[in-house]
Amino acid sequence: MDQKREVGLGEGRGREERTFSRWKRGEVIFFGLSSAFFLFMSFEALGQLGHGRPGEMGSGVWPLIALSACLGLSGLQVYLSWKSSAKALSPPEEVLESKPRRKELVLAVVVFALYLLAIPWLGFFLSTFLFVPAVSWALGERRTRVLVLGAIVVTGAILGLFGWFISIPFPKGVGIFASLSRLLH
Amino acid sequence: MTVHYLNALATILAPENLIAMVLGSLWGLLAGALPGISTSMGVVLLLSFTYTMPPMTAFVLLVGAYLGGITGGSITSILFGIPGEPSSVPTVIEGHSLAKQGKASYAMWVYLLCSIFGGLFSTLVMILATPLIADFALRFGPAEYFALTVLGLSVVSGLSGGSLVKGFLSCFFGLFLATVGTDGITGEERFTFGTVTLLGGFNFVVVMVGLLAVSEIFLEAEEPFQEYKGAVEYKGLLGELPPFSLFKRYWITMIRSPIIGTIVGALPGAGATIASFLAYGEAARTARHEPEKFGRGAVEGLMAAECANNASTGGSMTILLSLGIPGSNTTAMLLAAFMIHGMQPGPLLLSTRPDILYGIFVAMILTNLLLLVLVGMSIRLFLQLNKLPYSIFSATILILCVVGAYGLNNSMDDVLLMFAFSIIGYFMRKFQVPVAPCILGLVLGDLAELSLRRALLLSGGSILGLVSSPISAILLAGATISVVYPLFKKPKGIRGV
Amino acid sequence: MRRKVTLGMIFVLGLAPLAFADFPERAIEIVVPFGAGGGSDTAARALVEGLKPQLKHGVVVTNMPGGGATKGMLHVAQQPADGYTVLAVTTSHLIDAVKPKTRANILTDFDPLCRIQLDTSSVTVSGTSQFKTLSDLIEFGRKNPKALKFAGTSPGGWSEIQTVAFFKKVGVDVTFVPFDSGAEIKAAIIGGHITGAVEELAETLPLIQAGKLKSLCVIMEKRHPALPDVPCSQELGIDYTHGLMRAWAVKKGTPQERQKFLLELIRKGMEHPTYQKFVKENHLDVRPGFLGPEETRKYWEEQVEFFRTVLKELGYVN
Repeated sequence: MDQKREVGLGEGRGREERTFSRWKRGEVIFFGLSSAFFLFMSFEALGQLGHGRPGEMGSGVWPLIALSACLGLSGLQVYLSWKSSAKALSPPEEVLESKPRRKELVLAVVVFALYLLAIPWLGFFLSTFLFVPAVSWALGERRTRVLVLGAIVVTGAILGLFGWFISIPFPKGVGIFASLSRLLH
Repeated sequence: MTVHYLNALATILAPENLIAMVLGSLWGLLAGALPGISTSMGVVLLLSFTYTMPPMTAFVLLVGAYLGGITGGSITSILFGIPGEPSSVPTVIEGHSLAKQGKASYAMWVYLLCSIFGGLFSTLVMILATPLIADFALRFGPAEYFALTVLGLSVVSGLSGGSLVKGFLSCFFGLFLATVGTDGITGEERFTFGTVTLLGGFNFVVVMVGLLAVSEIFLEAEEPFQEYKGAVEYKGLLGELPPFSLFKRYWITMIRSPIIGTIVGALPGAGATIASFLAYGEAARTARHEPEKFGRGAVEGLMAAECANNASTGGSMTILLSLGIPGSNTTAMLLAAFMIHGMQPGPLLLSTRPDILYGIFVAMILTNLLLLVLVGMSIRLFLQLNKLPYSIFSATILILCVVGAYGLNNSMDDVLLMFAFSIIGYFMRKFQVPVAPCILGLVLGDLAELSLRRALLLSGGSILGLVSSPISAILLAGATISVVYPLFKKPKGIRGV
Repeated sequence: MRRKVTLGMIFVLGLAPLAFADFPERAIEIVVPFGAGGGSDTAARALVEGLKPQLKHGVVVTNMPGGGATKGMLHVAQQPADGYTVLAVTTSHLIDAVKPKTRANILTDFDPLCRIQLDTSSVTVSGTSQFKTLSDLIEFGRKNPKALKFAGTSPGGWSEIQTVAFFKKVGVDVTFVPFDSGAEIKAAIIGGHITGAVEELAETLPLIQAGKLKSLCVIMEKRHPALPDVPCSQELGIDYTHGLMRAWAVKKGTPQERQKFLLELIRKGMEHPTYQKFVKENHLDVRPGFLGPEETRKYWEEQVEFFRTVLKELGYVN
């Protein structure tokens, strides 16, 4: 691991790519979409103007201030990105070759989404048991021993700590899965 | 006076009370550290055991859980990047960044020492200056709360990293998110689109876990596969202790943050979360050493947040014991404990039950020291978690995020919202929009808007009401200077895009 | 729709004798639609202490806050009507019934088990306030409409209704200022930022006894034993005695035997010393709270009508 690169949670990624035209195009699209979102919400906020108690400014004013600022700033950013995209370079070959692992990313996101959708049906613990090896595999783990042990140990720890000790009322699932969850509890 | 303290000490050193203190602290640490269960929930669960206990034992147990919870919240924040407690959100940003750079042990020690320092500081202030703090806290009406939040929001440029445009955009986005849900003044629904889920608005743990913790896993998934991420060998029994010179270098932060924490903790409308954000923001605003590090592992930010959130315990207890008004959710549980034992905290407590009052003072000091030992001894143990295979570690973080979001209201809705925010967070961070200002806006936005509108209701719609008291006038002036000044300051070095 | 309901009834009735064999065969869940530590939560947990010794499989409290207490109600309405899920009902749900926020309606989707408590409110001002008696306050208020600022917690909810309805009864127009919590309100009254509040007495009693706050009037039929010097609304000639109600209910269609079983359970639980102690110390026993299922339903219906008229006057519903 590169110890000198101090990447933090409070900031973004993709710093290496930042100067390239491809990235700037993405930026224009992203801030363009946010502008559209803020514009839509502003219309929603307009409907709330005038609702309020006598003497104060009402429900609509504060959100409208925030939304106009968002709209203005994201519009400005679209302009700034668009302007700098003209100056940006096309990426050199070694950057094109060291592509980020898009496949792993998409897989991880999809597995996570499926997990969340499965919880209400399969119950929390069965879904978790299946999720651990699935997402580990998606992230590139290929050792069977790690996948199997991970599923057992992590699910066991979560079950013990949250299910039994603190007894958070997790979704139990439906039908046969509910009975399984009750058995585990 | 001294007799009271000696008596209290003698009571607390009785075996059953000592056991209660250890158990309470351990339970608190666990409740604080685990994402699905908050400190106040942890105290509630203990409450039902205290019905049959002698009052002093009950309070020792509950105080232990309270202080332990606030302290424990930062353990998961640093190790996993998931806030165990809302008040440790800044700790996630700075502490977890440090951990990712292989400095987990160092970050843990800085956090622990600052936490205990903040806790002891505020306990001493509470013992020595209760009337002063209580009086000052009572001066905060809606106008003063509004001024305080504006001051808090004004640090946004310090948290913006490279681009001010993106920083402010992020902050206003947070302010917008804070308005979603039932409006606290009119009771009207805003931006809920008829859904029950959004009636209560966005809980900022949900937003925070999504924007930071889950999106971090997604961003990592893109990077080349690495084994044993963040695993570093530590020498010695205790791990890597920070040198004393570190605390000397940041002495201003070390003094200022506990003061902010104590005062804001005493405000019933604010509390630990806002305290830690304000102290963190102040540190970012005035950082003289390495301001560019904020957002990617600034020790000073970690110190400020940790001093302040633990210091809020003393402030919160001050207002509870002197006025019977709970300054936070958790002290509301302690109030319930007083009720259960047929006591009423407040101005009369000193005359009716001095033993309990002094007992709580002594218990708070001892609990802080006990926490130093308990957490200090286990830091190395916690660091072993980093030795898990990277993929399993990531899976565990994702599950903990789900548990954390679910546990807030026992509802899957919050989990799905968290997922939505993780996607937003992924793109925000991909395109260099700093996340910290957004969370700042979300944390302070609700209080800012509602206080402003309350102040207007009280002044009959006159804006002048906002600056009629010296406190609000000073706070607002400070905020104005801090927003305007950096706009005219020449950008330093290579921070700009 | 109707057919579905009938089918459901047959299904439930068909299963009932079988399932009744040994109810409950697992833990009973009490859904508290508020966050942990609030008044309703503490009350529910105190009562649960009284239920625990009676049940082999135990009883758990689940907090499900959100949507002004409607989220938890909706959740219970979506569970099977088997008596395993009990909703802790408060006045908030009755107010919601005037204009339901969700598909669930407390009057049509639930069967009350019993009313448990009827809390007492009081008109509270700062201990150093210029107003010595309620008539001082009323006189000032009549001369200066909107000048009295009264705080409360829920806009359009119980807190606003009881404040505005009370002052309307005495012919005063007050400004209602919503805050987020009772703690903030108390601090704001003592700090002199607002005139006062109409709030549940138990929460403010310690501060009243310490002289930081002052009660001008307790809203009930007789004087409050803890404040024998403070007049009650009835004796001042004000015909207004509403208070905050707490009750427990199950989903409509829960088998009668199970409802009876649960009612007995609660009745016994309320005699448990832990609960008795809690009620005594919080002065929740000053007014008889317990009402059986039929009386509770009648009480609910009356209250909903009352709230409907108040909310109409306030402009929340048409």
